[in-house]
Amino acid sequence: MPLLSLTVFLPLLGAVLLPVVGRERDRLRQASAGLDEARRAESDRLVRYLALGVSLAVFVLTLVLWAGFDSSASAPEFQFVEQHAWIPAFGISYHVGIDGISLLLIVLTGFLTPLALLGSWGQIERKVAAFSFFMLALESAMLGVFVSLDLFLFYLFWDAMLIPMYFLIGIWGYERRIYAAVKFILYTMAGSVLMLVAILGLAYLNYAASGEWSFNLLDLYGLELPAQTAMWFFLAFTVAFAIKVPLFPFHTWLPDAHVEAPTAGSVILAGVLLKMGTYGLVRFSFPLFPEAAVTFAPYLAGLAVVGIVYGALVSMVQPDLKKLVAYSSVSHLGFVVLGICAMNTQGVEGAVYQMLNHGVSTGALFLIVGMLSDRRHTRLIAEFGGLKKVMPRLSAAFLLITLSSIGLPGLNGFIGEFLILVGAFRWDPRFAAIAASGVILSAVYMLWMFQRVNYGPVTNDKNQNLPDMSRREGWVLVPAIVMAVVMGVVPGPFMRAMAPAVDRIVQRVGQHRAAVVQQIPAPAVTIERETPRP
Amino acid sequence: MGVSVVLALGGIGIASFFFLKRREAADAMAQRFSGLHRLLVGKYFVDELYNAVVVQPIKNISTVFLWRGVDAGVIDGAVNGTGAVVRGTGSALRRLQTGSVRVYAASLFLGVVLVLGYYLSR
Repeated sequence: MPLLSLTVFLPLLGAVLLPVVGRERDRLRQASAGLDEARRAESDRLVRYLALGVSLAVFVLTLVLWAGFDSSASAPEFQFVEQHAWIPAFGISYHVGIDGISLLLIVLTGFLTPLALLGSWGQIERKVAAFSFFMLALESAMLGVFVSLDLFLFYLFWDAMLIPMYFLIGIWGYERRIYAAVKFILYTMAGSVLMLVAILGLAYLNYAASGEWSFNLLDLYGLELPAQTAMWFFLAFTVAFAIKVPLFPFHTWLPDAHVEAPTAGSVILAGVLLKMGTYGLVRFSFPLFPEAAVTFAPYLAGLAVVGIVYGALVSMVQPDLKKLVAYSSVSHLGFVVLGICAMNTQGVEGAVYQMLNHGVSTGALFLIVGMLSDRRHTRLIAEFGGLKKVMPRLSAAFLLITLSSIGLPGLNGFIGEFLILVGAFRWDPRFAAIAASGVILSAVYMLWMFQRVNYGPVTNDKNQNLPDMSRREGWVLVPAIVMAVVMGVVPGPFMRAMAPAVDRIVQRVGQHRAAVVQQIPAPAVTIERETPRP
Repeated sequence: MGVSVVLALGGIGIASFFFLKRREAADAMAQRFSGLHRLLVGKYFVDELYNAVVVQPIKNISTVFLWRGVDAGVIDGAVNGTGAVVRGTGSALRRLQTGSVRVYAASLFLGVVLVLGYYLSR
């Protein structure tokens, strides 16, 4: 059974079914104009449950994939591979498969989408069917990006993902939604056309060398390129990914898009879409052009550490909760890029782990901010204060997620940041030193924000009678909190799943750096081996 | 060791005199050495010093320079500026498309003259 294709296309199938339910609604409306409101609410409820059910089924499928995934070192690099000729004249095929890194990212996607959908129930009141359609279509595109092993297919999913996001921001967003949606799509497209040129160039050079057209990533990994060409291609790919990450100074689309998007959009943007950038670096930029990558890694890492400190400082002074979380993403993703640039086992494992952590923690942060904004219709920190007295349970959840985002030991963020810092230190201690200051700054901006929102007296009378966390909101937040704790205490299963893939990528790039960089030798007991591998 | 025990006991003795036996003596001392008293009550004003030297400057620099200046001003200004330049160019070039056939013919003629002139005068 083509399990992977089923996982990727099930959301889209569900999305196509939703308008059928919506049409049923129109028929009902014509039949009984008087009952309109009640009927409509009922139909919206049906659509919501259907969409949630589909996304939960997808999550189960991603877990089935994980259960069937062989993460021993001798297992094939890519598993659940499906390959069918698509446009054979140009060597374009429908070619999908997953290694440990893509596996974890599709599990993350499967995990976050139901939470985002369920979290949006309190906010999305109009055009529920269309909203659910775009969310599910978006999920298909995101899963497609993570499983594609054909560059053409990858590019297709990469750009397809923009379309639902554009509508999600543009239709259900806040006041400046049109500006944010257009900025998001133009900025990302500008990067992806550069990548398209590089993809076509790669395929052409492969044709020139081998006489056969191929967009197969595994064929192109082996392609020898002139140094100059490789450099330009590396830059074209990397700029596309850097915009998505977003790496300083390509980040200004992000605060706008995150702030204007509806809650579910922000969750998916921060939780999954940003990871596509860092995933692209790991899967494409670095292994396809290892020499160029080794040359440029210090510059990328430089931008990453600037982003870490800069994002944290700008985040610290934001008056708007959503903007604060958005800028904190710039800082956190800087860590991920730093780990990738280090290109050693700890660095890349930490980077992949941090991608998952950021998805869980920041996704949950956006959900919480959404819940506050649903209650008060404002996101300004100054409007809140003393919420702990009014809604103790929501504040408790907020606190746990805040601590996980800071990277407190025992919670998920700690392990990722720690591994990245170890990896970066082995590569170049200067980067690690600057990045470590970001750890402190993240405590500053998060705790200060938490304090101003939750502690002290209730200064604003509008906050006096806010309802505490509802049961639905509990179903949204508790899984994220459980995940944050589990990933903080037992990282083993995640590390085991990604280890072979990370080793292969590090090796693939590492062959080309031997003479270029003097590495600090690994400590006698390396950190990641503390979790025993089979 | 003997010295430290004596010092500790002495300290306990002084404290019990001031805080348990004669509270008013403590107040009298505070009034007599009011400067020293304020310094001690203010914990040597280390927190205030940090706040003035470290916290406030970082907050101000982040707000005024990094956020409003660099982020919203320079970087986002460049991003939006690119858009503005494209829009401006577009609306300038739009004027060329007048719909008047005579203008098109005239510009065609001018183009031919320029191209031919370039090649002939070489």
